[in-house]
Amino acid sequence: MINTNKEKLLIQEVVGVVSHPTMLVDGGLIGAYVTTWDGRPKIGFGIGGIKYNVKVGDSCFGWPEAEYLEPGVSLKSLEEKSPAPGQQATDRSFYQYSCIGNEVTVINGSAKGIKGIVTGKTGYAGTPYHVLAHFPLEDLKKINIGDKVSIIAEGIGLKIEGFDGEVFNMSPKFLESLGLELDKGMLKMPVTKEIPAYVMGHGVGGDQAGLGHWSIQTSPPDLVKECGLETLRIGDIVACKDILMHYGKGYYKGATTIGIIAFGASDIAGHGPGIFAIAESKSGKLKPIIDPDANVTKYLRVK
Amino acid sequence: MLQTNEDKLVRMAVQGEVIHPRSSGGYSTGPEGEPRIGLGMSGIKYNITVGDLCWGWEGGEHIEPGLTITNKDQKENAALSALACIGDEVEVITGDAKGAKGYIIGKHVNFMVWLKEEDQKKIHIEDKLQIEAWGVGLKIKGYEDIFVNKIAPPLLQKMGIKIKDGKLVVPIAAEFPAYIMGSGYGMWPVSIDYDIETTCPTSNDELNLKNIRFGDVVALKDQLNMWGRGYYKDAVTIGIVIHGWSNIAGHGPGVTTILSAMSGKISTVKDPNANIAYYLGIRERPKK
Repeated sequence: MINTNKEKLLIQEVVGVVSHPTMLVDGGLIGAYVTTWDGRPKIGFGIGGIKYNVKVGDSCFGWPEAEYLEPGVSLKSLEEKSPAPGQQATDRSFYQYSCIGNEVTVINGSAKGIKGIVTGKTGYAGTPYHVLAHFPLEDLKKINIGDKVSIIAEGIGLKIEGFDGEVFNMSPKFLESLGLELDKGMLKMPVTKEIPAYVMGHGVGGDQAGLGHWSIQTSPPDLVKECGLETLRIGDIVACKDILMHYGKGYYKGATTIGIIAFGASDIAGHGPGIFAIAESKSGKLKPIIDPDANVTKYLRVK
Repeated sequence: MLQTNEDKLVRMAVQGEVIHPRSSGGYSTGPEGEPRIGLGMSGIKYNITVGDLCWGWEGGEHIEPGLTITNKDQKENAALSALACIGDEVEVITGDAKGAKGYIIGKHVNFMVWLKEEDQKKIHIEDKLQIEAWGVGLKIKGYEDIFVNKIAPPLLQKMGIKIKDGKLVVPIAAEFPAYIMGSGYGMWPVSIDYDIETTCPTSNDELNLKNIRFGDVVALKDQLNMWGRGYYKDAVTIGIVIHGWSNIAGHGPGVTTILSAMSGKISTVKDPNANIAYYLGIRERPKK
């Protein structure tokens, strides 16, 4: 059992929009491809939009021509630029306040009233910020690109009493569903895999833990084999050793950060499935426990 | 002498202008959460150039040595970004320093330029510079599978590189493991550097990161900078340190990568004076 400060957290609405797919590289009249680690051209689609057959729990690998494949419905903020000088845009609050496990409701269009759940958060230099949501398949087909969604945002400021570390991006309900134990100050958390620091790629140097992702490299194929990455699934909980995601994202000997895989693999050098952080301990008080079923589908009870 | 295709490369003019320092208007946050004002990007630095230590400048954050230039037209800047190389000759074409000559000494997002001290004092923000861009497409004959990037042919020849047992032997000031490579990872070697992370106190000491100098030639182990930038076991990348220390998690002195190859093509030899300040004649090489 763990004790948290959940009754002190602010619960508020944020509103976003179902995004359209975008390309990693904007094509011109002469054409433009993503270049893979070994110099091959690739279309590289998968960011944004609605995926009818890719969801949390599915493999990160094996989707032809895909890069950064986001599961389910990719949500973006209402505004991506400041509406007027001196005013803040809403994008940062939308991406930062949304937490895994928060309830999502479509608030206009033919899917009005349909409910889903936040399963992931993405974004870093060169790739857009998105909040990823899961909806049951029969409801998914009613949703249109451009529909507005309301998220009941709850989770910022969540703390575990007696834990020398921080938790991020989780609703209290999701945190509780993990069934965690604090044993003599050590927080044990289920993960499918431990990832060594040298496998962490694009995303290093990025935002504070509450925003954006950091990718596990999935090239060259020898590295995937060496580290057993082929079994990674979207939604897997994984531990990153000697990695600290807190005020920023960087190497830190002795630290552990645990995060969730938001999207699929990449063939671009230094890129791969992106992780958003859910917990860190700089002092080594976070203990990963290997559990092959440690995927958000289990804890969110989604299929 | 390395045999190269330098006589077959297009040499062409590109332009940029000195840009003003910028401030985000808030504190930057250190890895332990400490707020600080970070300064050092863009503008003109009168007292920091290649050969100086990256670490130890008060409030220093990604300090760019010398002066920093860009082209304000986005499409023209893309060409400047792709074409100019470290070691290319630069001439000031407007203002009080008109006619002064120097070199490109690095590429962050923008390029850094060295001028003689007396010229550096005359130049102003917004003055224009023209660069004779020379280096795109450079290959070393017999070693075409080594990826050459952003290095002017004359500077490549001055780096003391020898060929031994079928490998290039490159003098380096230091070498670094893959796990310490930070911001810029996964990005395009042609357009941006990547950082040696200086935000883990333990690795700062273990890897002697406080000794890194602007202009140092360094080796990055298990790193391939070819069609992109990432891990590849036993690959070797050679780069030049182009900007200063950082206190933002995952950041630190930046490296423009100039040579990269898979296993067995590049080896290294330690030389504490492997620095472009000496190769370009900007500073006198210390006598052994």
